[in-house]
Amino acid sequence: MKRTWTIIFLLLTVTMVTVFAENDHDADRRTVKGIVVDENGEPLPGASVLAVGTTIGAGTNAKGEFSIQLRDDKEQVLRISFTGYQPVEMSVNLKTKPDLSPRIQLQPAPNELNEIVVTGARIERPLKDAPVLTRIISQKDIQALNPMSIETLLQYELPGLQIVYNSMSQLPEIKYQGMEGEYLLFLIDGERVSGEGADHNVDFTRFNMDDIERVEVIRGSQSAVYGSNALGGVINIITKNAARPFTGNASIRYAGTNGQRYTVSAGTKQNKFSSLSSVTYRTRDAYTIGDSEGKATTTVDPDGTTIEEKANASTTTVYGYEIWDASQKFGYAFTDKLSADLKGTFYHNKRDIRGSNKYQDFFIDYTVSGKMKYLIDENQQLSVSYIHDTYKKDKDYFVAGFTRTDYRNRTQTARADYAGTFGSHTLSGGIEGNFEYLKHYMIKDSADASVETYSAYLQEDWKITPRLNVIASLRGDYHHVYHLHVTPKISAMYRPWETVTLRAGYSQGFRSPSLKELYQEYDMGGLGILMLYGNPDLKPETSNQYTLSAEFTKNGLNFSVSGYHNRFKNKIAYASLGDGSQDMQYVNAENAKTTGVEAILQMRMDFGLTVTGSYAYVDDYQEVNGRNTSDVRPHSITFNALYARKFGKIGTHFSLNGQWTSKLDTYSFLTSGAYQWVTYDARTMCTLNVGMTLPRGITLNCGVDNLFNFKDKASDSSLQLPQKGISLFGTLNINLADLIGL
Amino acid sequence: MKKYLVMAVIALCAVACGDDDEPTPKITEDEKTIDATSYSDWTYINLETGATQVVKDYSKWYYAGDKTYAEAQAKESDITIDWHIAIHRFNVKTNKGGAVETSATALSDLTTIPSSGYTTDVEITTDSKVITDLSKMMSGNVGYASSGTLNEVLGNWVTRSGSMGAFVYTLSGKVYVVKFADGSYAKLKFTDHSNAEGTTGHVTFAYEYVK
Repeated sequence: MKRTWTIIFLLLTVTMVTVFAENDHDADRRTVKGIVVDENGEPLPGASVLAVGTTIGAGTNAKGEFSIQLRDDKEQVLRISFTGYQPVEMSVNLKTKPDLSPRIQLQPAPNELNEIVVTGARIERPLKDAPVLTRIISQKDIQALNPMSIETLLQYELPGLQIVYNSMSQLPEIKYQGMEGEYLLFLIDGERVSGEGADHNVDFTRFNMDDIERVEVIRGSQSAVYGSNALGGVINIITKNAARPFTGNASIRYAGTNGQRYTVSAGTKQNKFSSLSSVTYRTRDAYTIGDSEGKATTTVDPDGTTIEEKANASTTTVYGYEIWDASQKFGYAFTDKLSADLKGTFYHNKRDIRGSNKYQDFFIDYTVSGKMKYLIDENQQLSVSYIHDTYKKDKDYFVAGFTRTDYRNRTQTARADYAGTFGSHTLSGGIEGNFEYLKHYMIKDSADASVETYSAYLQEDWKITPRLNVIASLRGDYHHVYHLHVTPKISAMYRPWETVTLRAGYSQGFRSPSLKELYQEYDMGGLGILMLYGNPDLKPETSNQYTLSAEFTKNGLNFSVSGYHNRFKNKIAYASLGDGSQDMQYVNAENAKTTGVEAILQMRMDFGLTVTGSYAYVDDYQEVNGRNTSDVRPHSITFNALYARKFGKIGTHFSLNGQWTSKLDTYSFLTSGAYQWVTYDARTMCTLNVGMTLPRGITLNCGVDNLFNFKDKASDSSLQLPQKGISLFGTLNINLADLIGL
Repeated sequence: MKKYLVMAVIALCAVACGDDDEPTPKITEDEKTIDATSYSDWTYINLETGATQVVKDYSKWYYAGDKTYAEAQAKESDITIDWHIAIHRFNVKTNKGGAVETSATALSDLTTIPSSGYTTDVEITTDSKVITDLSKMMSGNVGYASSGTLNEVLGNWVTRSGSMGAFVYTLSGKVYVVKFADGSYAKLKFTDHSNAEGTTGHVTFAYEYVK
């Protein structure tokens, strides 16, 4: 079956290249040169100039100039855009005006609504027309925080996101508004990633901040678009592309033992060809958080006596790493209609040796992916893509003198997508094959297992009136173990006034049992007393989500409030085998629900100040006998104040980011009838950044991480990854293209 | 005066030379790795001959979960060798000896044997948390030794920190001296707590036994 699929995929690709490549008329092209400037008439390097409905595009150089080859036999529309500016479209007809040399002035956008997003429906569209509320973490947001890791970025940007520390694997886990990491689908450029860091979480260190252009976040079930794992939300990491005829960057982020990162990248964007290469080295030392006194647990016996016990003071060590990343992207437009992208990435993480361990962990990943896009006409497009992602964990036993691969996860996805707009209807659909292979030390005899999933999906986007838009989608997944699973989704968007957008949606989500959950057979602790078994009879976990949101936008003011209710069914959990032994097995046992509200306010003021604040409340219904047993902090806030101003040729910015999460009392019940609770204090962290942009592409930044020196308690590490106290960092970025004026 | 001095020297010599027919101290030097991975067993070691014997903990095991005692699975007389020290996981006991931790970190660095400060073994109680049975751990019913002895000074050769699944072990790296009832003594240095693949409970120590 897998072979058949591969053959079909290859045939499709070859057909596309051979058939459609003939339609090109290279001879009828003419070069158009122009310039793009900003509101002050200064050149705007890196702006995109695209011939709408074609694969042909160009970027502007250090002087704001571009050069694009256009057909001279018909009228074409050029779309000129740049992040943070309002895009402009202009009509070009080389037949009537052959000696055109346009000068395009872009005006800053008062808000983000015209930024293009892709995550909601897998189709590019402006944020304001996205059918589901999408949060963009833009390049500007990333620069304002200047974080070392994606965990830091997400915590400062998304309220209700907790980074939990898994003390077994000593790796971070994510928890977002009451949902664990396995219910969040992490994508890189729309493709799922393989490999596992902590239990059922991705390895967050594989995301290199220097490679990230922006992050798009959607809360709620998105399985009708993305398949398994998209129960709680989708976090789509969009990587950088070459945007100029020549791009070159060298950057350093230095914080001593708290982290260092060095990146060099170079690339080009021509009419038909683009390329971007980058290499990053990053390292961070281990650190230890120690408590001066232990955690207090208060126990109340059935007779009312209250005993307060203090545990021994504890310490938690967060181990460091040494990582090499490399990535290479190529793009080529064969014709006006047909283009291809090729990408390869490599990640090599050498982890610190823990304590007196006699082995060292190495996490290694490489990916190869390709995509071909064919624009059938202005309103229809077809694409086929393939991605191969292999992730492995090696242990180097340096005393015994051998290396063993304990874990290897390989995923391959082949997909064909179609999208076409016919009047008020946009129809899209596709087929997908997903092949996953897993070798895991928790499978019997460290053996392996694999699974195939075949999917088909269809989506109808109907603009009933200019103010009302309905999207319905349906996806079928055929998994070779549990067979067919169907996922529907419907959402509507209504804009009663130009400033107000209302959205409502119902969607389902599911998560296929992982290969570990299906086939595991693991002797926990190696003592033969506790076996943990998988279960090949597992069904997928499912979720139902209901959302409502309202968004108000007027010039620089954007306010949105959204509410949701999630119901999870058939959650996979361990249960006793029931044969008198200690042994456990995965079963579809639990149901759960969450209800939440999120509000986001952003104000952009004319004098250069932008203030963003967001608040989230979540209830995960973990109340037992009137007492909260949850480990989710119910209230959280994130905020950012960014002030940017230009003094002559020197740009400056000041940015303050903060996050706050509420105090939490967690109760547990003992068999004796007593109950006890532990208090986790509220948590406030802030980061201050001051930056300067000098002429010739030099950007200097310095910052204070954890400004108010908040200290996590080591004994709270089960609730969050312990952070160090106050620290300093500095970054230097040299834009080589601007430096030499290319 | 000189005469008396000569006589005194002769007398001293006579006293000193009185031991002439006793053998010079017999020194045994060795390094041993004990597989102490089993929670139920003690490995008894004769430092002079190098002989070892594995015997189950012969106390009645106390199950903390349901607060019951299990019948002893062995008896003290099962130990058939003359032993000096015994090892169970990272626990150490001595055969009616006493131990002291020195500041030396290599056996050869320790040239003077401490004259005092020796700590004898203490009686095991169920509070000592000498785990003998983990098989019912998941139901919260861990078995502990209820009697026997333990040398707490020697037990300091390794300390454990961190949480389950991610323990960090730190070795003291110090040389310990153990004196036995017959006047013999041993210098001990524990050098490892795990095997080459990192499985804990494989205890390696170097020693010099002097009789």
